[in-house]
Amino acid sequence: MRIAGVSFNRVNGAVALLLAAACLPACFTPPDRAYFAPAGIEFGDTISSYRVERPDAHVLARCQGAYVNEVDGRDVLTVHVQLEVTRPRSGELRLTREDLELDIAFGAGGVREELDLTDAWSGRQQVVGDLVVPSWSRRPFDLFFDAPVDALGKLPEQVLVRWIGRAGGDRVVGQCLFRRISPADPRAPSEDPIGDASFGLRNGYYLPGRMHMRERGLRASAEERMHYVFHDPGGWGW
Amino acid sequence: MVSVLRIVATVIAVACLSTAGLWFAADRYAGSVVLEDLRDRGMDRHFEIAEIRIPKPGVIRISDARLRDPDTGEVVAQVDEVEILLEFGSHGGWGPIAPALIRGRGGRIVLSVDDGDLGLVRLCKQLVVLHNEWATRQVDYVDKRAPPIEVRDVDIVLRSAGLPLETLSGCTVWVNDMDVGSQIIIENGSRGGILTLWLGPAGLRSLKVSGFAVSPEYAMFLPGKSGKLAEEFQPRGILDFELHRGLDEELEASGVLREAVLTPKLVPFPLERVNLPFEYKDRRFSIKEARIGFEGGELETSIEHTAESLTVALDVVDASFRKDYLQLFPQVRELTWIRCEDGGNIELHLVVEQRGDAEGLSVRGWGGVLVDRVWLGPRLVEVEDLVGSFDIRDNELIFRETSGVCASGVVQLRGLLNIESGELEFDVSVQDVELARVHRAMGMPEPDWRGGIGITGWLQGDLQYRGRLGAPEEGRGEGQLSVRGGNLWKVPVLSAVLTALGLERPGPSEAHRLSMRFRVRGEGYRIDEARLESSYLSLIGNGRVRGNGEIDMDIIPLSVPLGPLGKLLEFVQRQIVKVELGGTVGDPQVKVIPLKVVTGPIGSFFGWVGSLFNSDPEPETPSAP
Repeated sequence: MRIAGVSFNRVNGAVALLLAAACLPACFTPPDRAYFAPAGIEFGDTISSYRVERPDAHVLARCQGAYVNEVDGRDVLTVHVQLEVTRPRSGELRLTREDLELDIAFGAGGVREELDLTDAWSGRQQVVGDLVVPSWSRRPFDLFFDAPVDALGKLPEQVLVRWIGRAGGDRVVGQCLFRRISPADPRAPSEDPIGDASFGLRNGYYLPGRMHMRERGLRASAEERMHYVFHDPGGWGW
Repeated sequence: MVSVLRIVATVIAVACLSTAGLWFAADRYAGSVVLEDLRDRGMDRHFEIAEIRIPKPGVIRISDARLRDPDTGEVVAQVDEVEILLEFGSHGGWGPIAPALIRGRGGRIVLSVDDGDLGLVRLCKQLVVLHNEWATRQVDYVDKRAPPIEVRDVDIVLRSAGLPLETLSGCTVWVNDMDVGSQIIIENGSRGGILTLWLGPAGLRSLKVSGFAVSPEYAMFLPGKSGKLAEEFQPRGILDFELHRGLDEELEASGVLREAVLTPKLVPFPLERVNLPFEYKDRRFSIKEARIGFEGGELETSIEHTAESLTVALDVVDASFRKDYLQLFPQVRELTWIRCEDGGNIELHLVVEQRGDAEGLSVRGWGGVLVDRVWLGPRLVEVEDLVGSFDIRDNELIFRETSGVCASGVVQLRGLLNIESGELEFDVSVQDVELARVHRAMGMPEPDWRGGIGITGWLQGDLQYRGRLGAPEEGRGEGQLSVRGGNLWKVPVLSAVLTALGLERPGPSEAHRLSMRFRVRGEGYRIDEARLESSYLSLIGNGRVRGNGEIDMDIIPLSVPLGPLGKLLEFVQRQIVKVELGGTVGDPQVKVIPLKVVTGPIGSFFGWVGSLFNSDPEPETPSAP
């Protein structure tokens, strides 16, 4: 095909070259991503969960990693935690945002930082206020704890997430410590690009592989899931 | 001196002989005299005496005395041996005498149900009649009251036609005739407890039971449906109970059955630590806020029972889940798709009503349940932490939002089960189920991660099903599933296809996406469309899988990624073959047929190819073979 005397293939080639040039600086930056597994739990090549059972609540906690992504156009370091909370009683269970705390640590004896819960989703629904689990039900939560990337400058070695659930006058307290999976560990997620990016999971890990996380926001999906994709799978691969 | 002594001795001897003669005569003829007296008084209709002796002055000994119902002739009480201690009249001489105390030992008293009077026994009636007759004829004696009666070591037999007997052995019975009426006290020797009856001229005025150990047979003393209810629950425990007959002749009763055990016929486990406060007033029987314990929990219940209605309210909060709760379902034998173990939590609020002569019961309620571990479906897949709430509407059990963890994913269920007919319909969906862990969930060995990637992937799907318990051949449903983000080439069916096509198994990094639309037909499945898309090989097919695992599918393989139509058509023109898949799921048999003999699936295939470029995300269903 020719347009105004220029071969369509040549136009394609030129556009591709321009895009490649635009991405060149990013190509020299290592992917900002760390993967975690619950401390003290034998794990495999699929993501591991930590389970806390109390009479008033059962909580399944997963850490989908710490990564740099964009929020409102700015790069931030995000620790992405997934909780599945079961309320096996009458009366709702309520977790206020203040009751969800997340600390990160940079190696033994290193600096500890407390991150704020910036963004919370339950399935497709964005949670604005408290996290609520109705009686006799189960709710998934995607929790994003953000920190300015410049202030930290590196990825954490440990993530400690704590929660307090309130049901009537009762309190349900729990926590989980996640340790970073060494990139050299054969169980660590491969750096190969994810084959099915629109699905968003490989071996249970959220968008693993060399992937530059762009602006965070719920992506459309025709499927009903417990957890959804919040980053553009069309981001520039590595 | 000697003479005086002789005279005295003679007088004494004469006196003794006279006394002995009188004594002998009294002893010899006492029976006939007393029986004659009883006949004169008209009391022989009630009393029957085998032998009367006078062992010493002032004492009458009766053997084998029987109290008889004059209307039916039935013996309602029998005493082996009775001593009557006599009291002489206060005006001296040989005036009238009357019994001062009646003592007995041994015997048997039969208490049987009097249908018209809430367990008023005929014995009580007979004693009252007897006493009244005695008192009205006792014209010469100052004290018209009957003497106190004490009988020990009595066996009390509870009897009702058609019901088993309950015998209380070693009881003591006291009867006291007092100004306000007659009092009968029965001490239950074998089980403890005291029963006190107050009788007036018209019969029973009040009854008090203290610490009386009751057994299911006592249900016969309850009226009408209350008795049937008690029969159903087989109560056993300690009874404290008071009953009064008011001036209007209406009965009022209240009490508590404590430290009791119920063994209901419909419940597969005993109900223990029962505390049942109850009341009968204005012809209304009620149990209020009774507490019934069972292993793992406690039930609070209230019952209102009138001639027109019966209402039972049940509340269970924070009870442990037990697998034998499934036994409460009428179709428990048909629940072959559910297995569970003890562990979890349950809450239940239920109101059961029966109005007038309406047939059947009205049942309303709701609850919630957490089952720690349950196995569901025809393959009994393990699901953990199954949690959900439910409603009960008459015969329908309606599951609202119910979900459980299966192979790291979530199974969600909502539906309806008709408890009586067994008809059910439900929607079930699975999300993020990890195929590598499904092995374990299905009781098969889980692949070791160190041994390389086996079958991996994340499964989503849903199924709408309608059928009937115990009749899987009637089941109908439709659904879809997809597997993404994993590697499926070690699935026996796909592995067999690869082998038949002479292809090597692709590496673990190959992207996969399996999707399938299917219909349930009885115990088999009709696969309307199955697609496996990967960068290495793509397959499309349809067919059926029978309940016994037999496969009959046509599959078309494409050895290129599904891309632009032009490339596909070019490829199809050059290389398309049909794969016929038979055998079983575990042992698939693959036959590769060249293009020139392919006829049927070609149309389906081109229909599918066209659908790739259709905006509708759900392609048209190819016809089943």
